[in-house]
Amino acid sequence: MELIDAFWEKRNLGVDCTEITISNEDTVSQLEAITDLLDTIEYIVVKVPIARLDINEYLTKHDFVFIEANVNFQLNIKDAILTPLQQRLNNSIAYAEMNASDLSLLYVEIEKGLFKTDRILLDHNFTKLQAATRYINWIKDELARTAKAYKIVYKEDTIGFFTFKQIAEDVYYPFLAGLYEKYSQSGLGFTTLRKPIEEVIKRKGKLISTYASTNNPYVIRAHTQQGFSIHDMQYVYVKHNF
Amino acid sequence: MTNLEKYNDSFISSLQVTESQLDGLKYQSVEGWDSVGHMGLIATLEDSFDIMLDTDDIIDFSSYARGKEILKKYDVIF
Repeated sequence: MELIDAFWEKRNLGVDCTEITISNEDTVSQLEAITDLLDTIEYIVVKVPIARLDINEYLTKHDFVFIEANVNFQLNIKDAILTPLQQRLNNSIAYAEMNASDLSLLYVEIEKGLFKTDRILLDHNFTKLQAATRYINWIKDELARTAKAYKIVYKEDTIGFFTFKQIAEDVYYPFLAGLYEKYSQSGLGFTTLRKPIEEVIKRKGKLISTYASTNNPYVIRAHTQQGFSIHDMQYVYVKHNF
Repeated sequence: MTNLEKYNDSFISSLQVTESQLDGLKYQSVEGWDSVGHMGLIATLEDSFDIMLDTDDIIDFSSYARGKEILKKYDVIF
């Protein structure tokens, strides 16, 4: 069992937060041993492996709420799929690394509501502004490390974006992506998965590992359609002690 | 089969909707019409009418009603 002081959530959400990741070897008694923490920390997030109903039941009895299943998708690059129509459209869509002006536009789009299904936005204890600020801070934090941000472009118009980092040898993680509001109903959502694949190919990488929430079935569908397979899943529970 | 029937059948088969849902149908107004569904719908329409839509028209194809207007540009008469 791993306990992390998610100190960044004090900045993002204004709450003390602990994230707990349960592994298959962990037992309920380990949770019982930290009851004080579970009852006092302002915001607690617990990530549980699948098929651990004993943990699920314990958390539910202690006022935790199930908020999402977090799906780890992986794609071996050679298995990437595009339909003939998607290939045709993709040929007229480009991508490029963002500059400061592009990033400013991205942050505006996030504040307008680009992300709609994250566990912060869906949680009535938090606000739309907090959810947006959290995403912006996440991007800024990652860009200050090794991540890159890319804009997706159609006819000189930025239609969307993805952010991207290497997490292991030959393995890349496009941790956020989306279409901007003007193009949110264009049908071009597939490019937010396809362009990271192209970047991995350009870097001679082999594998993409990424995550999607079961609160966003559209993204789940998009991943499976392009050849991603489910590698792992966690159930996510949250509790507010404020 | 009339053009309208072919048009309606494309929506019904691609988006898993019924004929009664077609009037007023818009992108993301039903679960099946997401980006994956949109690609399936466009591909089906292109096959049904033996046409190839411009990218701008695919982007603009946001509703059942709008689609009819777009297909008129490709000499599909309803």
